[in-house]
Amino acid sequence: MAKAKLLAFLLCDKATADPDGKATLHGLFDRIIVPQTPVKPKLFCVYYKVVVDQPCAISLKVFDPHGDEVRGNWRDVIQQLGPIQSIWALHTGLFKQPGPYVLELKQETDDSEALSLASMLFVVEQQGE
Amino acid sequence: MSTEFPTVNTPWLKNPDQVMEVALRRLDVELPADQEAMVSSDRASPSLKSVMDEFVRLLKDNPKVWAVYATEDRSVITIWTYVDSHDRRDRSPVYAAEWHLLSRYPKVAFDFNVLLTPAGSEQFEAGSLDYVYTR
Repeated sequence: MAKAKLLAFLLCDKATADPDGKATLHGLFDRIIVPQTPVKPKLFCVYYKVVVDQPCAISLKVFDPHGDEVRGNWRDVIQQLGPIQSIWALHTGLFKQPGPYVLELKQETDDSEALSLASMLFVVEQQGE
Repeated sequence: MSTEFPTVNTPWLKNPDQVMEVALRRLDVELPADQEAMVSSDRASPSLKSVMDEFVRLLKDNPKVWAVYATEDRSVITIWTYVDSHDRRDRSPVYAAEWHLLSRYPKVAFDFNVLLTPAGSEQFEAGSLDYVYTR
């Protein structure tokens, strides 16, 4: 059963918050180009905004071009009802092979199957391709 | 004469600046396996207990904070703070204490989490956690 309604799900270079809660998302994007020579990974944000009807957990799952899960600790337990926004930090070092990745936002339910709120395609290109 | 229209937005679950700060520190300590031992021994960081005692000392006068626990894994200290309130004024001292640790221990990677749940709604098994405080 849905306990949260998704309002936004975006990738950006950086997110900042004003004291009154206003969010500023800098540099929205949907693909990255990785250089052929190794460089220090760069951080970026997954931003989401939901309206919570019942306390629940929201998590992010990342799948590589072969469908294998990229492991990470991207999970928020939300007790507060109503609209709420948050980010997770990811880094480019997680996306080692070129191709289309899937980022899926899930709401965890009491039963075993998590409910998908949304998914997006995230394309990783090799420089010079 | 001007008329102001204040605008406000949805509350944040976590402060985005803190999230990025923690991620940056975590990224700095996640080096290849052959370098990991060197980093661990070079860290010269305070013990988990001393860090957490300091954190709890900053919060124990806040009656809404009813539990704190922490784990340490791969040089990252993950801290969960339980607050029996949805009032932002009760949470602010928690964020202030988190900032205190970040500035006092700049070489330690912290992962802070705040849960707004009624006191006693969760039980903690001390054996499975590295540090536990309950009121």
